[in-house]
Amino acid sequence: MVNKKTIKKPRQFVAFLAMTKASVLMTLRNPTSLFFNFLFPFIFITIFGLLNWENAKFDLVVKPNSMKTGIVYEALQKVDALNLVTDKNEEQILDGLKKGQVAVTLDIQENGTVNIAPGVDMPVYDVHLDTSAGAPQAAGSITSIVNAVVGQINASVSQNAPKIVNETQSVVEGRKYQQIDFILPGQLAFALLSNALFGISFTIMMYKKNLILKRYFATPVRKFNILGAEVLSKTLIAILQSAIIIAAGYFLFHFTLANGWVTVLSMLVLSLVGIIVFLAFGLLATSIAKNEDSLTPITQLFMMPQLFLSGAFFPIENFPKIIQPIAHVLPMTLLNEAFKKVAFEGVALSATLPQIGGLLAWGVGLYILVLILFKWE
Amino acid sequence: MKNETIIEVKNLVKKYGDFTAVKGISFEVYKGEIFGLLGPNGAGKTTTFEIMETLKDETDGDVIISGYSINKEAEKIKTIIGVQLQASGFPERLTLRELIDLFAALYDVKVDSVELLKKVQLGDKVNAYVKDLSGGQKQRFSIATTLVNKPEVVFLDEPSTGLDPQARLNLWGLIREIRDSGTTVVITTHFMDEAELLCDRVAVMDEGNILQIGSPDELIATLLKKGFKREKLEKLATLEDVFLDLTGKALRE
Repeated sequence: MVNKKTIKKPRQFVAFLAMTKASVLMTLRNPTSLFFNFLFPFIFITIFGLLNWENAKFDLVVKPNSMKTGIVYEALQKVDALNLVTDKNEEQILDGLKKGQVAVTLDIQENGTVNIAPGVDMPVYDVHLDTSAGAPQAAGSITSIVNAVVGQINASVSQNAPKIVNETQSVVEGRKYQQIDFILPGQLAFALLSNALFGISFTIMMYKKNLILKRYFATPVRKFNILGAEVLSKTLIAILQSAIIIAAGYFLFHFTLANGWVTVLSMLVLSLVGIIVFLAFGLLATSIAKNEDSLTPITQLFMMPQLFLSGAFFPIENFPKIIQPIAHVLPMTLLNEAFKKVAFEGVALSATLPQIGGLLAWGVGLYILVLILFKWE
Repeated sequence: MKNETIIEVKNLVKKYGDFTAVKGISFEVYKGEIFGLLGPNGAGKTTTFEIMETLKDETDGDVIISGYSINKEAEKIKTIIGVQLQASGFPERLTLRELIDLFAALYDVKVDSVELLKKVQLGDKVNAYVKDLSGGQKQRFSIATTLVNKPEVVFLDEPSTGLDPQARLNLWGLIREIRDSGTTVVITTHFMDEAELLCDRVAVMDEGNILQIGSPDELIATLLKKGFKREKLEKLATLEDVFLDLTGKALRE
């Protein structure tokens, strides 16, 4: 019998870091993943940017019986990207909505008052938008602008004394909403989702198929460190991807960063939360798929509904009422909404806690499923 | 000199549902030898191998490697063995040097990757990718990855499958070098010439049982004692000899 040697226990973090580094190198050297990670979203944004919608104005058709005074109406009037149309009658409006010639109509009604501070009452406004299914892109953009303006008014009124309302108007006046401001958050969320989903699922599938995972199992590295290293490396790449897309948006297309660096950092934090959830979808896809052939449809099954329902490409308001609640809770929708809040409305990261909380809830649920369903062979 | 046992397989059983792939086999591997597990496809070689390599759990029995039990101390065994799997690949787009460093990190050891690659005659390929290597080079590289932790035992599963005669000869040379440097080598093969020329001892397996164990010469002598005669006397040279004579024994890739 051979004498037992004393064996030094290998430190797992050494293996973990080495695997993470290797995975980052592999991704950066892979022309396909480089294209989809960095060039593809850039091309998308460039196309939208080249369309030169910077000076384009969207027509927002005001219904004949809508209020044409009050802070909401005045704020909307001051938005450069909006052109308030007031010369259409009900019949023309209905016809235009059906044909897609009118994208959105505006109806503001006063609805009582609310006491916001001792002895101070403010009128309450009901703002209703009708959007046309025939003009989804314009409808989405206009809806986003109105939502942003309404959001700012509400935020300012509830936080402070009524005096702030006047200041808010000046902020609205200064802010120019541009096409890129609507496009970039959705594109960013989409790029993060698709790259996380495809990147990790196909990498792990390849590791299984080529027995690379099995080869690793014969070494002292712990199984979950192999997956952990992939998750970390894909996360690092995704953060880099986010930073590049935001930088390209800002420098090339004048993407609005409401609070400068704070906005950039907030968006990167949101990217981090989003990517971790999206990677769980990728891991789940490899857990369910039996082979490469079934992996593609499964990843598409995870991506397509989020792509169409997230509001990044088509306004959620256009979907049937039954689908809308589902659309609102999808992770990509949550991320898209959070990006928009931070970037357009310039709110603090803490104001996106509902979205972050929603994403984290998805993350916990998905990772539990992955732990149950993941097959190592 | 008394043979020192490094691997002890005791009544090893592996069942897959109703099917019993390994039926209570026992054998020993001595320190510093090249031990061959022979048998036709489906004999239970790979299953036995994978249990010894800590990749599969046994149904019953035990394997002791260098004093550690596969049952309770698989984590320790992983650090003292090197494993080459049949047909396993490597992560893409990493150079040979980077892959060796990666494997070294998995064992938390430092290794001179260039020196190790030179040892397997890949000194001029340190910055190449695995996909650009020939079949023989791939196998030698794969063996290099099993050596990063200076293992006491390396397991090679059908290492010469798919190689041309020169690459095979070269691989045998490498395997002998590994043995001569003090590492025990366990291989599976279904090439009898390989077993005969390379292995110090072999175990013949079929249908989950070990039929016979001994040195190739002993096994041949046992067979001859039973009165076995070849139907046709062997030719004085084979086509392989012709091929090697014409193309040279030196490694060409």
